[in-house]
Amino acid sequence: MSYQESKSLTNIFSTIIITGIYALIVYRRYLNGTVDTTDVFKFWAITILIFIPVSIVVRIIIMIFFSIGTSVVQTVKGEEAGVMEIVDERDKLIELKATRISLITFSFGFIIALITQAANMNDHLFFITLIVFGVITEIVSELSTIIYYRKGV
Amino acid sequence: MKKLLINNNVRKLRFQNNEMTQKDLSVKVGVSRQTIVAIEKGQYSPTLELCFKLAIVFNKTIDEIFFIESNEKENDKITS
Repeated sequence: MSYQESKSLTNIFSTIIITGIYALIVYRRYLNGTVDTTDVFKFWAITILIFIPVSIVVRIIIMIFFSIGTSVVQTVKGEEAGVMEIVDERDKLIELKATRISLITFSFGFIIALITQAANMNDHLFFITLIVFGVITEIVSELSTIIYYRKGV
Repeated sequence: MKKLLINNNVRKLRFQNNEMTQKDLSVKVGVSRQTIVAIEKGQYSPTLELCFKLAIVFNKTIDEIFFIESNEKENDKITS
């Protein structure tokens, strides 16, 4: 498995783990009644605003460990270090294609979220749909990256 | 028009050039080794810039490195 494929897999797992744990924490607080849910928009604004920096910091930590792990494996195998730093035209093309796929996926999720509002469903469902499709978008994007690296562009 | 099947002689030319390794070639043209692997397998069609770089390294013209896989019917359509 190449460096890029391993990186994509790490991103998938980190997305699932970070979002899953955070969702569990928020849900427990919601069940305990420690959060004010009378104002739905305020509740979700606070939840998402906390999630963004937490997610970034945890991802950075995971990527640091991933880079250290990759370097150790390369050293053990006797490969030349610095392979991970090269981003060439093929990488950029694959990234572009994956970004296009992720945009389409998230747009689809946004439309579904709007439908929940048009159909007079619970306001919470709008934000939950957006977050779920955010995770799905990330997974689809990374999976498409792996497929492009394996099957070719 | 159908997608053209482009193949190449990169692997052959590497061996003709003092059995150059994929790593050596990737360093000379400034891409990753995985990209050279993908080009040799026909999984990636490089940009014109990279084609020229390969041509310079091998001291060949681009059409000596890259060629269209024989599909006579399709080629006739293109040329006509």
